[in-house]
Amino acid sequence: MKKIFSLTKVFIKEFYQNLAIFDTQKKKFNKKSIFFWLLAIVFLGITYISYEIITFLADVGQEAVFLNLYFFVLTILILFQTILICANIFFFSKDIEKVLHMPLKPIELLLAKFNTLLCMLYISEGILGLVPLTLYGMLTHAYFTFYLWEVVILAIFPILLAAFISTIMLVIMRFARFIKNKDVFQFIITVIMIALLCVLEAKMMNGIFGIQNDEQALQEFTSLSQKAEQVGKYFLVINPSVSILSNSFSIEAIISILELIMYNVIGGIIFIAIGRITYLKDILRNMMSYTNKKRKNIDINKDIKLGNRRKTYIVKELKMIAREPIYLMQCVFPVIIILVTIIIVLAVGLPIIEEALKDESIYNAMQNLSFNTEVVCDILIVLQVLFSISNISLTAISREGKNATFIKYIPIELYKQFVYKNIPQILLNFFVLIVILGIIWYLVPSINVLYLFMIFIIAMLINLINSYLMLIVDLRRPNLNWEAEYTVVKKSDNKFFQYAFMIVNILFLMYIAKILEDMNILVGLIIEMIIFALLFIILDRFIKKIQNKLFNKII
Amino acid sequence: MIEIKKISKSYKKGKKVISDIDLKIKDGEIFGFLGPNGAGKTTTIKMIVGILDIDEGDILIDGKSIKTNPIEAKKQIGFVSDNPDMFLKLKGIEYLNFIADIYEIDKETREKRIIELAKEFGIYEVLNDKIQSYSHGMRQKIIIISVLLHNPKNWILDEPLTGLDPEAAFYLKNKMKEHAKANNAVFFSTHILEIAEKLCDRIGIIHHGKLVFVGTHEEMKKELKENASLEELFMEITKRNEENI
Repeated sequence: MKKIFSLTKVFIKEFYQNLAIFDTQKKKFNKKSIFFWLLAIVFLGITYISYEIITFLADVGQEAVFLNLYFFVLTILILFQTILICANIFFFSKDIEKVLHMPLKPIELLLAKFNTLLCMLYISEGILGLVPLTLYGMLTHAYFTFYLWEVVILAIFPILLAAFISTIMLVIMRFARFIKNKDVFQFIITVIMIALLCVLEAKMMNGIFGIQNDEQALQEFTSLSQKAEQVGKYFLVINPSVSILSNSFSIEAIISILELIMYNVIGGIIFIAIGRITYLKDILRNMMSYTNKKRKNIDINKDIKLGNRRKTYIVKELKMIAREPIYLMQCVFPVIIILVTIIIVLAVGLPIIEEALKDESIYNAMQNLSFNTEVVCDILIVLQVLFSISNISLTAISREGKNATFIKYIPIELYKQFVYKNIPQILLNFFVLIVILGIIWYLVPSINVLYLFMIFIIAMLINLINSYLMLIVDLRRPNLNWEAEYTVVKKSDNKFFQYAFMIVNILFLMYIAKILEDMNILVGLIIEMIIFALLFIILDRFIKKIQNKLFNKII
Repeated sequence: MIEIKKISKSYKKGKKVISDIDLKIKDGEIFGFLGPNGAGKTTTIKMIVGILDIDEGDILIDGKSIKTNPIEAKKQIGFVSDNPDMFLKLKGIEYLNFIADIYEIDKETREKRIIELAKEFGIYEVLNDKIQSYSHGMRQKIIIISVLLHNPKNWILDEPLTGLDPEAAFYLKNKMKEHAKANNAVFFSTHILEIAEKLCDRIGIIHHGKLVFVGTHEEMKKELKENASLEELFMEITKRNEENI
């Protein structure tokens, strides 16, 4: 047991990123930390949204629905986070190699890793889950037992979900021997699991929104509550948790907590039983995967080929992202997940939209929808938010690590390299832009193509400005002395600058929309285009002028 | 030819890590750059190849300033850094192709040189594997091949022999000699004094950022002790400089 705790402590320290939110020496919050304020904003945001939802539901006498919705959202969050981090924690983190020579039993290693995973989930729960539930208790004047059970439930809740995903991960890893390349495998495994979760999510959303009727709001919420309960059945832990908190002062709470514990114990036993047999063997095999590879000699005509500098440089940049699953996962994957989620929500919601469009008044309203600068601004804001998700340009230099000096000694102008390094980010954002404009085109086919084209140009300019600025941030604050790839994004606080730029640009777009409010849409679009084009040209000239200074942190 | 003209560098104001280094590596010469850990060898090399800015002075590579005409100067340099972990996700052949494209080597030359060099360094069989699967020595070899590929006039090598097996080390040393013989300059740093003793036409010793000796092994002996090995002379010079400080 002592060994497991010690190992857990080491693994957590290795995995967890210290954001310096709490000053351990002065024993108070560090108000100088950017992350303290970010956290404060997140807390306030969650508190506000939760308050609005709870009071709204209370007004229609359906506050109990909140618990169903809360645990549903929490489940999805925990599942997503587990999928994204559990492969890394269990199989691909560097710390495993450092402890393998020690006299440890597989079960000790497995449990220490599982504890690490749980601690990461508890941190997320603490940030995202504690406030809404406590607020619910306060607003519904719950008994003190509610808060007691709240803590117990939040401690137990992620165990089964984490054990469930981890068990699937262990089983999938059994089949890893069929795939020689562990990098590709790590990527595939996450894709498969997220795809499964998306299907499940779509199914559940259908359960909630699939059937629409014309009843009054109160009846709809009653129906929503019942459907949410049905959704709870997909995950064994949701309904008992809701039941405990709904009846916190009765004997039912005790029965439900026993039920909850029982599910978790069973899940834990299955996980341990499978992990005990397979875990260590699979780790060792995973580490040896390269030695099994068949060697192939080069084909002189095919493998040695001539290319131009620009193309070869950009291809190298793309290969370095595509071949490193951690970078792919941290820089590209989140955007793809969001796009897929948007498409799923749309696919599920489309029958409802079509149904609504049968209503003549709604159809006419849609047809007469005025496409003004405000709508353009909304579209550009959505795109700016999506552009802010990816970290390609923000880590373009840091990803190189100690290799970054290469940029300085090759005979290619630094400005040109700056542009080449931005291309992967610009391409990804271009893809996002096409998908979003495609969705708009699909939903509102009557939209003028010229408007769409002009939005495309403005969004591309924003894309360029965003990518350039983020690369500047990375050039001025590079993290080159890392040991493991996952720390490049994880231990970088440069993301703050991306959020700050996003907020500034959103405010700027809103300001422009306000100024151009009464103007003809075409003139408005042209003015916006000129503004962003000018901003881009100024930025580009500035970078060219100070290129040597810009790269002076790479030494 | 590499001309280092009174260069200085400081990371913090007023504290020079490199102080007034003045040095000329002539064509046809192998120059060994020696010094204890933290003396400023890598900093000097980084300034020569353009990784670090020069605070004072200038460096000319075949007459082209690394400060004012960096692209042309860099074209004349082949640099082997002390970190062989380059682009580990690329295959060996992809890395060599990439370098060949950067230095604009035509197809015929690159084909000939890649095959010839990879066979000589004994890594032809693994060119189709990713560099991350290579051992430390193999990674070092692929970097050296990439430098030899564009056959620059001036070689600058930071600890090039570390991690190489005896065969590859022997081959590289011969290559360095051949390169110098063909009227080119070779500038390399090393910790291994025996190599410097046997291989270099001249050596320079840097200590606390200052060049404390430049000359041949014979000149060093004359100045200090007769019949002393380079190791003893090196210790003597660095000790003397320590006392002066």
